[in-house]
Amino acid sequence: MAAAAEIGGFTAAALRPAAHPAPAAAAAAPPQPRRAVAAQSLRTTATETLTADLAGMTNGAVHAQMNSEATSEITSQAVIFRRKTKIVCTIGPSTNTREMIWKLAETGMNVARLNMSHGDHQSHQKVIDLVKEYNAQNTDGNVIAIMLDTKGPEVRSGDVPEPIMLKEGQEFNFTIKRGVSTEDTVSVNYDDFINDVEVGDILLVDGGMMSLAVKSKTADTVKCEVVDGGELKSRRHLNVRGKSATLPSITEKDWEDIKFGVENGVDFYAVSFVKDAKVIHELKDYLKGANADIHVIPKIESADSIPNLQSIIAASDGAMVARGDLGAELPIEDVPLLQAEIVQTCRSMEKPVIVATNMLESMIDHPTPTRAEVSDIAIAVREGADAIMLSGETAHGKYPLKAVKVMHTVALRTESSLYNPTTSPSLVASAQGLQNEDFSPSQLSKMFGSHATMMANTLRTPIIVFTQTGSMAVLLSHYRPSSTLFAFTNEERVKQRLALYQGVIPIHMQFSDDAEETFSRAISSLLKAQYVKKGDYVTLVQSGVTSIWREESTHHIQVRKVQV
Amino acid sequence: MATAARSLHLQGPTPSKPSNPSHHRLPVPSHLRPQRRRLAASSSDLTSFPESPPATNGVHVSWAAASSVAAAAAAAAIDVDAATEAELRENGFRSTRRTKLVCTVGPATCGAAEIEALAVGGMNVARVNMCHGDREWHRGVIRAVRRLNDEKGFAVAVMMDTEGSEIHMGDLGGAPSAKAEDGEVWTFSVRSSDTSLPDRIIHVNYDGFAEDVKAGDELFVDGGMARFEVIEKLGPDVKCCCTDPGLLLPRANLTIWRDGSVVRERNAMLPTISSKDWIDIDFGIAEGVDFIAVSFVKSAEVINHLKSYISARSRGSDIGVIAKIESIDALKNLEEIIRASDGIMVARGDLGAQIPLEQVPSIQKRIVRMCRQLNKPVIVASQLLESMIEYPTPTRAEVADVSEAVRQRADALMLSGESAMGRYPDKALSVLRSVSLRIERWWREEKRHEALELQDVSSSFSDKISEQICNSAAKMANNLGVDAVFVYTKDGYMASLLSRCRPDCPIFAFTSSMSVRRRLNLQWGLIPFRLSESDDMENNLNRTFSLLKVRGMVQSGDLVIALSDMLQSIQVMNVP
Repeated sequence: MAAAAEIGGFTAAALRPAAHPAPAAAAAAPPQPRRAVAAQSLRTTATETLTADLAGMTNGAVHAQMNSEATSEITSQAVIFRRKTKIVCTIGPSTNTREMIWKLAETGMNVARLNMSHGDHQSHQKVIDLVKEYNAQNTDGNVIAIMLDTKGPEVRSGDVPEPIMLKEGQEFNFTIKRGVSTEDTVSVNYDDFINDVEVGDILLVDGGMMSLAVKSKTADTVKCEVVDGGELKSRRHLNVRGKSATLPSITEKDWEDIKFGVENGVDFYAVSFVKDAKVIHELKDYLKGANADIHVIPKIESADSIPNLQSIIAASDGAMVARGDLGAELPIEDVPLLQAEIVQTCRSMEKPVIVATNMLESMIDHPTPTRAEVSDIAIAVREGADAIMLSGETAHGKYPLKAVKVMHTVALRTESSLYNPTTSPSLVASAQGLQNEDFSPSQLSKMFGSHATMMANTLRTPIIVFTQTGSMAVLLSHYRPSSTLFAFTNEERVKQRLALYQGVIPIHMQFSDDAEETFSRAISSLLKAQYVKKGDYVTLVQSGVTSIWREESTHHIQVRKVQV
Repeated sequence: MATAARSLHLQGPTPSKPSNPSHHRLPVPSHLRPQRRRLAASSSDLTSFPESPPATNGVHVSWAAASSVAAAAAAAAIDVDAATEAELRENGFRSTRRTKLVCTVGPATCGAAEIEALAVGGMNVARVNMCHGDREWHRGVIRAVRRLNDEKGFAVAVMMDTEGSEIHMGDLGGAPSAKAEDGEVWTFSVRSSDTSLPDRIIHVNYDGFAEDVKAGDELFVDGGMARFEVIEKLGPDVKCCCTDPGLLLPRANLTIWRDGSVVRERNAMLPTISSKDWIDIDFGIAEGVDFIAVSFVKSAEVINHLKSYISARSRGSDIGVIAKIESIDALKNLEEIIRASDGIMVARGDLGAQIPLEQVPSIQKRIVRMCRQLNKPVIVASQLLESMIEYPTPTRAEVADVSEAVRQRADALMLSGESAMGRYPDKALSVLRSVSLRIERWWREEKRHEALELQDVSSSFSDKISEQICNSAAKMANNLGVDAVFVYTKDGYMASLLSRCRPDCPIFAFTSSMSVRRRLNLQWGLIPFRLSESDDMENNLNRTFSLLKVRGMVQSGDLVIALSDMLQSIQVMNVP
C-alpha cells in the first residue's frame, strides 16, 4: 500500500483499489520516502474494545509503513510519526474505573483532568490513585499528568423539583432569595447578581442553550422575557452576555479543592474564571508557602480576562482556552480569533496552551463526530496548541474511547500534513539569532534550542534532551521539532509536567555522574521501548541554564547513530 | 428613503429603449421571468424594468433627482438586493459581507414569510434538495423565491440539488426517522415494495446490494451515524446487527466497508444521474433554476454531458452546473471536474463517509484552493452548524469550523438541515453571517492580504487581457485602499475574475441580465446590480453614480476603480 501518498494530504491511498498504482498521489505529493506516514483510519477499529493494538505503550504511535518499492536502505530509516498534540481527558462517571483509565491511556490520553464542579474528594481521590498506579506501571514514556480544575465562582440557578418549560415570550424571574422555585421564578446562588445585571442585558442559560432578556428588576428579583425557550433544570449555569460576575476567582470551596490537590500532589491546577494576574500570584504564593510544586493554568473564559491576557499568561505556567463561557460572555464569533490570539500569546511566551470545550460535543451521544468537529480539531492543531481537551465527551459521554481515538487520528493526520517539508513549515520557528552579542546562558540555550531543532528537522532524527528542571525540554518543544522529543529527567515532578507539552515524551531516569554512561542508558531504554532501532540517528542536546555533566561554559549538539 | 426600506426598484421614466444588440449574447429564457413578462408585457427588451404600481414596494424617484448627471441615459433603472442595500447604507462599503450564504429550504422554511426572513437574513442562494419532497412542493418553493425577487427586489438564486444514485435507503414508509439500538437485527432488502415495510426492514435502492455485501462487512448509515455488521445474506435480504446505535433518516446514504475501506464494486457502475434525476433536471430547466447541483459526480464527463443536455433543452440558457465532491472517484478526477463545472460543492457529509474523516479538513482546504485557482465558485457544505438543528446556539467547534471556511475564502457556506428542518433556521443563518463578518473584519484590521499566487486561467487572448486587468485592479484596490471596484459585465466573467482575486473592498458588478445577476450572487465579494447598460462607459459610470447616490449607497468623494468588459481598461476615480 502506497503509504507515502497520504502525506500529500489528499489521496486516500488506503482506499485506492490495488489495481490503480496511485498516479494522482504521485502528483499530489512528490516522493517523500522517509516521511512515510500511515495515519490509521478512524474506521479501522469500530468497537470500543481498543487495546494495545494501537501500539499501546508508545501512546498511540503509528509506525511508518513503507512503500514496498522503496529501497531497503530507506526502509531501515523509516521515520516514526507520533502524535505531538497532547490530549486532556476529563474523568467522570463514564471513565472513572480502573479499566477505563487504562484504556484511555492506551488510546491516547496524556493528561487526566478532574473537574471539581462535579463529584466529591473521595471520588477524585480514587481517580488520582488509579492514574498514579498507571504511571508507576508504565515507566517508558506513557506518562499521564493530573490536572485539577477548580469550580470557580459559577453563577447557577437553584434547584427545581422538576424541569420548568420556558416558552418564547413568556415572563420568567430570577431572585436572589434562597430556595425559591415556582412556575415563573427560581433562585440564583449569587447575591450581587441583582447588581451586576441591568435592564436590556441578555441572560444565557448553559452558554446559550436558552436565553432571556432582562426587562426590569426589583430589590431582589430580575424580571426577564424568554428569548429562546427550553427546559430549565436544576442548577443551570448562567452568564450575562458581555459581562463577568464580580466574584473572586477562587472561592472558599476552591481553596478546599486546592488544598486537596496539594495533598495529592497533582501536576496542574486549572483555575476557572481568572480575570487578572493578581489571583494567579495569590495562588502561586500560597503554593510556595505550602511547598507545593504545582503548575497553574488559568482558564481564559471571562470577558474581563481578555484585556489582561498578557499579564495573566506572563504570571502563569500556561493557559486554557475555555471556549464555553468565553463564547457566552463575548460574542460567539469572536471566539475563533481569541483562540488564535491566546494560542499565539502562549507560544510566544514558551508556555503550554490547551484548547478546550465542545471539541467533539456530538460524540457525547453519537459514535461519529460532525465534520465541523473534525475541522475544529484540525484548526487547533494547525494553530499549534500544545493540547486539546475533551470534557463531557469522556466524563459522561457514551463513546469516550472513540472520542479520544478521533482526536488522536485527526491530530496525527493534521500534524503529518503540517510537517510535510513540501508545505511551508508554519509551526517550525526560524532559527534564533543572537541578540546584541548577548552570550548569557538563557540566550545561548535559545540558540541551541532553535539550531538543534533545525538540525534534527533536516536530518529527520528524534531529539534527546536531558533536563533537571524541564526548561530545556520546554524550550525545544517551543521550537516544535518535526520528530519526537525525548526528554529524560531525574525529577519525577518534571516528568509528569512535561506530559502536557507538544511533542515531548518524558522519561524518568536516574542520571549517573558519567554523561556517556547516561547517554547509552537513555538510548538503550529507547531501544527497549522500540522508540528507536539500531542504525537510527538521534540528535543529542546538551544545553540549558543549569549544566549537567558539562562545563558551565559549553553547550553541545551531537548526532549519534544508535548502536546496540 | 425611509419609506423604501424594502425597495429595490428604482426607476426613472422608462422610454422604450431600442434593444441593445449585445444582449443577444445572453438571451434569458422566457421561463425565467414569467412574472416579469406578465407585468411588463409592453417591454420589448430584457433590460427595461417593469413598472410596478407606486403603492407597492417600488419607489419612484423624480426624474430631476435621478437625471441630474445622467440626463442622457436612456433607462435609469438599477436593481440591487434589498439586504445588501440596507447593509451598505448602514455600514458603508467596507463592511459588507463577502462570503455568500446558501440555505436549504425545507419544511421549516418553505412558507413565503420564512423564505423572506432568510433573504433578509442574508441568504444569497436558496437550495432545494430533490432527495426530499415531490416536484409540486419544490415548484412552490422555487416560485415563492421568484416572487420574492420580483416583488421585493432580492436576487436570491435558486439551486436544485439532485438526489444522485449512490446506495441509499428507502423512505422508511413515511416515518421521519427510525432508531436502531445496539444489538438489534435489521434487514436491508432490495425487494421492491410499494407497501410500507414492517419494523426493522429497510429497503435499499440498489439491486446489486445483496450481491456486493459479504457477511462480516460493515454498513455505515450516513457516514457513521449508525453502523451495522452484516450477519448473513438470504437472497435479496441482508441481515445485519446494529453495532453502533443511531438515528436512521429516510433515504440515508449507505456505504459498505470491508477491512477498513469502502467496498466499491458494481455500485461504482451506477450512473451518476439516475432516471429520476433526469426528470428532476427537466423540471429544473422548466422552472428556470439558476444552478443544478449534481450529486456523487465521478468524472468530468457527466458534467459535460449535462451541460450539453441543458443547452440543447433550453437554448442559450445559463443554468450553472455545480459538481458535488463527495466520493473517492471525484477526488481522483478533481481538477477535470472543476474545469468542467460552473462551481463546486464540498459535500463533507458523504465525503466523510467515503474517506477517513480526518482527511476531510485538508481535502476541503485543497478543493477551495483549487477552485480559486481555476476561477470556479466553491461552496463548503454539510454539518456546519449541525447542533443548531436542535439548539439556538452553536457549539464552539462549529463556530471554529465556519471561521476556518471563511478564512479559506470559500465563496459560500451552506446550511442543510439547519435551515430545512431545524428549529432555528434564522439563528443558524445569523451565526454564519456574524462569523463571516467578524473574520472578514479581522483581515482588514490585520491587513491580511492574501499572498496566493494565482495561475493563469484564461485561454483566449481577450480573456487573458481581462484576467490581467482584474489582477491588477485588485492589487491597486488593495494598495490604494479604494472603497469599491465597479465592474460592468455582460456575461459575468470579468466579475468572477475579480472575485477570484479576493480584494479587500467589495466588488459592485453591474450587468443587464437578471440571470447573470443572480448567478453572480454565489460568488465571493460580488454585489450584483442589474443595470441597463449602454456601450458608453462614461455614460454608464455617471448614471451609476447618480443612481447610487440617490439611494445613499455611494457618496461624493468615494474612491472607486471601474472596469468594463466592453472597454478593457482600469479607471480610478472619485465619485463626483
